[in-house]
Parts: sequence; C-alpha cells; structure tokens
Amino acid sequence: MGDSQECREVLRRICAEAGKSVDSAFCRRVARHLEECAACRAQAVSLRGTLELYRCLEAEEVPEEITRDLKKRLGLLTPQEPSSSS
Amino acid sequence: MGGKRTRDYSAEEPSEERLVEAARRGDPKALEQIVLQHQKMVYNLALRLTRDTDEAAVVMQETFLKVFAALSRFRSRSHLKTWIYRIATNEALQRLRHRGRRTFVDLDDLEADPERDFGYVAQRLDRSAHDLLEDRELRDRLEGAIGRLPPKHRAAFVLVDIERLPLREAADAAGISVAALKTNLHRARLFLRDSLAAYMEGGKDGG
Repeated sequence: MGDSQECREVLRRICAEAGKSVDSAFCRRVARHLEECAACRAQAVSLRGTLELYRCLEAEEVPEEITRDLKKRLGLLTPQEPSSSS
Repeated sequence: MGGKRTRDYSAEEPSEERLVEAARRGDPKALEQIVLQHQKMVYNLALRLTRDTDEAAVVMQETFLKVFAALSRFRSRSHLKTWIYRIATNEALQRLRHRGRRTFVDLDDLEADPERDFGYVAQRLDRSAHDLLEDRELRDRLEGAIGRLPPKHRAAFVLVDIERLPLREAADAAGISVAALKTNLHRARLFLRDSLAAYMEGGKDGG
C-alpha cells in the first residue's frame, strides 16, 4: 500500500468500519495485504472513489412551495405568507 | 397555536434543549425554527430514498407532523436530528415498500464481479470528484443506480454514506441491527461501484 493520502484514507475507512484503530494488529495486516495485492487495492480504491462521487452530489434546496405547504399543514404560516394554493 | 408566548429564535442560536422545551409548549417560533433547521436534511433524505419529489414532500410533511406530535416523548439524551432521521427514514421506507410493482436488483448474493477491471476504474476515478461530476450522464448514472437498490440497501447507503450517520445511529434509524446494516451497506456499495464500473468501461450492462 502506498503512502499517499488516498491510501491512508482507504485504510482508515476499512479500520474504522471494522471498529479497529489504525495501529491495531488487524489494520497492520490489512495494510500489508493491500501493499502486496493489486487486485484488493484496486477494489478498495475504486469503492472509495465511488463513495466520494456520491458524497459530492449536491443536496437539493427545498422548493419554496413545498416549505409553504409544510408550514401550512403544521399551522405555522404567518398572515404575510400566502399559501401556494391561494 | 395563537396566544402562545414566542421569541425570535432566528436572531439567536438557542440550545437544542431550550428550543425543544419551547416547541413542547407550542411556541410557533420554536416549531418553525425546528422546521427550518431540519427540513433540508429531511427533504434530501426522503428524496434519495423515494426518488420522487412529490413523495419526498409528503414524507417531509408526515415526518414533521409526527415529530411535533411526539415531542413530549423526545428524550434530550439523543440528538433531535437523529430522532428526526429515524422518523423520516421510517416514513420513507414505508412508502417505498408499499409502492408496489417496482423492480429492484437482487443483492442478496452479490459479490464483487471478478471480470471487472477495478484497476482501470480506480485509475479513472483518480481525478477530483467535482471534475468527474461535470459529466451529466455520469451523474444520471449514479442517481439511477441508487434507484435500483432495494429499500433496505438504499437506506443503509443513504444514511451512512450520504448522510454520514455513525453506524449505530444509522442502524437505529433503519430499525435494524448494526450487523445487518453493515451487510446491507456492503452490498449496496458493491452494486453502486459495479454499476459505475460498467459505465466507465463503456459497457451498458450495469443498468
């Protein structure tokens, strides 16, 4: 396993999800294996890259009319706020 | 809710405990503040789970109605946000399961595809995510792949990988054990990665 930021991040994630610290025997074994096994390294890096893409998809703003309908349903519309059906 | 004492919560950041306490008394400003603080999170969670803007709006309404109705039972030991996540997830999953006539991929026996060249995929992903996401077709592919995940796998992925909830909280929100959540999460990730790999390799066989 290389020493790049990405490799460290892949290892950190694997260890965190296994509930182990990065300096545990488990994580040292994982690191050693990833160092030697190109196939597992590609699996781990491609998984991490996929998750990174999904995380960068932007969250949508709530459309104004949906907020208005919600507040109307909850009885929170002030007199100055027209409901979307009016 | 007229006649209740109100204060301007938009001008300050009250502690969650004070906000919940005021909301329990029916203070409309406090109730509104809870909506404003959490509506985007609830809407996006519902949108990712249901894949439908109308249903997401309904889930959001039902979620806040249930939150406000049950505020007296909320224990301030847990975070308000986590509690709202749980109610919203439950509401969205119920709708998703009752929708009927939907086809989801079967992930119960999914393993990483040994034929795929993940080295190539890893190499293609070695650019900034923001650069890669300028490709509209790629973004559609990513969104479409989530839509093919069965509800339990979709919930695990959205709660942990998109919303970034700790495993314990995500399992709570999904109403399953941490072990079951991890299994669902692993299969969801493999499916989404393989779907992306199929796209990147130029194949159209991944959905």
